[in-house]
Amino acid sequence: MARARISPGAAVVAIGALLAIASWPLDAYWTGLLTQAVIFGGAAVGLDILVGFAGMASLGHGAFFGLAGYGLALGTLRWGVNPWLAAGIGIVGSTLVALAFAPLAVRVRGLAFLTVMLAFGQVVWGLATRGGSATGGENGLPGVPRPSLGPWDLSGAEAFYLFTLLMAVAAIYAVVRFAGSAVGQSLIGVRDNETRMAALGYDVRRLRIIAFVVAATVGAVFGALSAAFNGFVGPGSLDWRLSAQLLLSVVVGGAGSLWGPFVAGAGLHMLETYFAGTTQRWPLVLGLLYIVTVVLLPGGIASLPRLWRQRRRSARPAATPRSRSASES
Amino acid sequence: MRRVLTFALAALLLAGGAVGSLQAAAQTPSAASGEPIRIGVLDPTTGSFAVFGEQVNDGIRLYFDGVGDQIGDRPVELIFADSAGDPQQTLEQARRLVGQEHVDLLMGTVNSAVAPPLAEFAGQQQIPLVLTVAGARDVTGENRNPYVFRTGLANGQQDRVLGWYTAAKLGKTRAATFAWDFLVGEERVAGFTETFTAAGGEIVAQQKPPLGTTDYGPFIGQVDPSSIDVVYAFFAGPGALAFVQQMHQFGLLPNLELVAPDYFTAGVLDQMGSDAVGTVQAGGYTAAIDSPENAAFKEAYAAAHEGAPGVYVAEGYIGAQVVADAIARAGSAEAQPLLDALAAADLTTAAGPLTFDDRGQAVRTVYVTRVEATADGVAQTIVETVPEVGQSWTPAS
Repeated sequence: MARARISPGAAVVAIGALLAIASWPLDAYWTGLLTQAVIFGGAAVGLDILVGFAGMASLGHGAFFGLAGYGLALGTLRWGVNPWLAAGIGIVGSTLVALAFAPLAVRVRGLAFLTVMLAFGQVVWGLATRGGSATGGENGLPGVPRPSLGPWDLSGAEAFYLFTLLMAVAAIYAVVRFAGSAVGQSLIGVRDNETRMAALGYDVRRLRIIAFVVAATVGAVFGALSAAFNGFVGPGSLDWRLSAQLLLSVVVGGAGSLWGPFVAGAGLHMLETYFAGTTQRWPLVLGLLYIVTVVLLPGGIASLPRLWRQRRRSARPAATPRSRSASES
Repeated sequence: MRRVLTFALAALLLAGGAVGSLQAAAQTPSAASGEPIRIGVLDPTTGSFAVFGEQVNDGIRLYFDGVGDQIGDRPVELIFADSAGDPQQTLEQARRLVGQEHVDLLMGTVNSAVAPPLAEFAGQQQIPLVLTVAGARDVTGENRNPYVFRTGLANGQQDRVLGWYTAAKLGKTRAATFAWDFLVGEERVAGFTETFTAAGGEIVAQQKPPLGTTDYGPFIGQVDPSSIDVVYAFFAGPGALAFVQQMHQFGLLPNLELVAPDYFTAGVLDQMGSDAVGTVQAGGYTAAIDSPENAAFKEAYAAAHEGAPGVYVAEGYIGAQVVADAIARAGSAEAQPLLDALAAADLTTAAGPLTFDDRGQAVRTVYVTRVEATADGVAQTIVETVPEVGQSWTPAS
């Protein structure tokens, strides 16, 4: 199977550049939609580290996404600090929360972990809605300003899209490098056989904590971007429905593939926006989509290329695997 | 490698194709005589507020049907979008309405939580926004954005009248408040408390059941019935229905007075039946209003629907009337003339006279009603009409 491969990191940069060019002729609405799509796609990639690599399905990931947004909003609106510093406070704050909660969360696995994370998400949601005038309660905090990057004003749709892409490329590039690193690969070992990894001398608990915090930090980066883009954070920026949407993006995209969750996270968001404008049956469409995926495509979007290759192989029974590989390289 | 290139090419082609169709759609010439006026309507038609959103949409449609979808010499196009009651989705749909549908004005929304981000968006995009039901106080508060008007009542607006009426007219001065524990409940209880205590009343107990609660036993049980003579309640739909039944089971009703903003019996009055008799409510609209404008509204409603219109249909209808009136006087769908016309609004609606204060909040008549038993069930009758109620109304003003 010696195929000519471009490195995953280069692919991230190439796709980012492609997306940047693709937006050039689009109007502000479509550019805005793409911005949101990239944000949700990126957050799903972060969650994939936790779900696909470490095998820990979480229903509380939205909390880290939203906490960073709240950090940015509180920093700029309540404490009057510079938006960059406020975004930093949000992302670092969200990461620290993850770091503090991780040792507790990684003690449990499977369904218990899912439930613990759901509970954690609800606690954060409760704090946001019960925060009174500090967090704006159910109304959230409108009026989050967008920063400017030196002379580069980010208030326009196009400018903010390019900035989002830049951040997304940097974050996803880091994730891809992390996934390919020794730590990332040993996470797969933990997922597949924790006992053996422990017996081999790996610090399994530490690995799981690392995965947890990395996923949270990536989520926080995109959460801050989302808050700046919308100019608003509210309890909906960190509730369980967001967490569920992210988790489903990972599942539909194909856990562990990184690119699949990106495509699914971005695609689901665009589909949702489209359907919500044209039909009241969006939840039905979404539900059917999930059922179809689970039944017909258990490996998610990421398994499509493999299925496609298999089809081609069965369509050409004369070709031996060896010659096929050779012809493809 | 070839496959990567193919993919890149396909993506570029796709993007190019999308652009072609977009640019065709984007060519909307600026407002000229005979050009349609495009109004974006954002109400929840899915989610837990869908039943209310549909009614607001009904009211808006009803009004524009009545004028033949025409204002002056210009046709009106309504573009509906689903807010789902969710701020995020509301923003996305607002972006679509403004960016793709090129609407001249946004109107609608039911729940308060979507109003602040939407108001922010309207300001950024410089698109006039007319809120119909969502009552979040901030959007017509100190930092109000000049693009925002609200034709409905702000949270607390009718509660202020209710507080005064309870103490000064009903002579009840010892109250327990029951309101769902969220911002809207807080704002409403605050409005009630201010005028109630100013008129000599005292809040003896405050209970805050979680939003959507239908089992009020634990909360009712904490209030000593002998310490109070009136109960203020802010619940709606099934929650209000359950509350009124449990108040009877606990023996607090019918011995005590029950006062509430008018959302309490909206849509569930018939199900409450005799349990609701005696409930005093304050609101901006009731089918019992005796005026030619309301008669015309009820007649238009009856032509297409069963029964009498509720408050949500009325608010949609009134909002549409205010918008149409402003567009007609502005003679334009441009933002600034529209905003000026809205600010100068002075018209008589199905709910009585309507003007705006300098923060874009409607100043309207508030009707205090009492539920009475009638031959075929229960009905609301007006017991007090308070004109020119603003968002900071006090009895002296």
